Amino acid sequence: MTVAFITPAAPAPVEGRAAVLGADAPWRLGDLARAGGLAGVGLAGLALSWYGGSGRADWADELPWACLGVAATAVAVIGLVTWLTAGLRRVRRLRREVLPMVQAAAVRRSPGPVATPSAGGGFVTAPGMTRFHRPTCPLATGKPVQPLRVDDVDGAGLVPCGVCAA
Amino acid sequence: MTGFSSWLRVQWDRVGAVGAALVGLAALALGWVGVSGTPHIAEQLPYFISGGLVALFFLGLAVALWLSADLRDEWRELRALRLILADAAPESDELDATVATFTGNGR
Repeated sequence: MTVAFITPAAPAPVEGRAAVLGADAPWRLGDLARAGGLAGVGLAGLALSWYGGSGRADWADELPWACLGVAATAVAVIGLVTWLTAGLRRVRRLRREVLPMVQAAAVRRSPGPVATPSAGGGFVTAPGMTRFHRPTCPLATGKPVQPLRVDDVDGAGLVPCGVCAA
Repeated sequence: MTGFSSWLRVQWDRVGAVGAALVGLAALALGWVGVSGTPHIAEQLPYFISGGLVALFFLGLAVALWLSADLRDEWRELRALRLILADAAPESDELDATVATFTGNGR
């Protein structure tokens, strides 16, 4: 039977941080090339604008160089944004892939009717959480959970976990 | 010391974010000092470029690195969860059927 995957003692299969680049990573080499290229072009433009704009006596002569600097900064920032959006897109895709698996596992382990906290449902939560969970919920696995008190629901405004308790 | 160096190696992106933020703040401060030290616009504009715009880039880089580290952590947790659930379901037919129900592919 599949008990091990929700016990806190189960060893984490992935240690350390995830790789940055690769097929099983949030970013591909192309993302790095695009973001790094744009950031590099932006930095080069900044250096050029500073070099061209300094040492002139009339500020009107410096103004085009300053405009070039602003444009170069914008290009560099766009490069950084493309990096973030690429990572965010892949994380969302992985989340969409994993969430049904979590829901399926929760359903298989907790097929019974849902109880409310006031009815003593035996829910748990942990500091910093905004939701309460069943003790068997995969999202609570390995976290320093404590039994849920009604005060937590009323005072802290905790809501049921959408996977195991909703 | 070994623990600290391994922590630095693991958290290089957050360390880089803090470093980039410090560089950005230093550039901002130097730019401000340079601009405030002269009344001539022709002398102020280079400080605007080397101080203000470079600071903007490094502060943006700091934000990008920090958010990138958060994304990497979320990726790692999701991947670990996927491996745990995959290992825990030897009766994969049953799991596939349940997943298909949730994703709408099993109708």
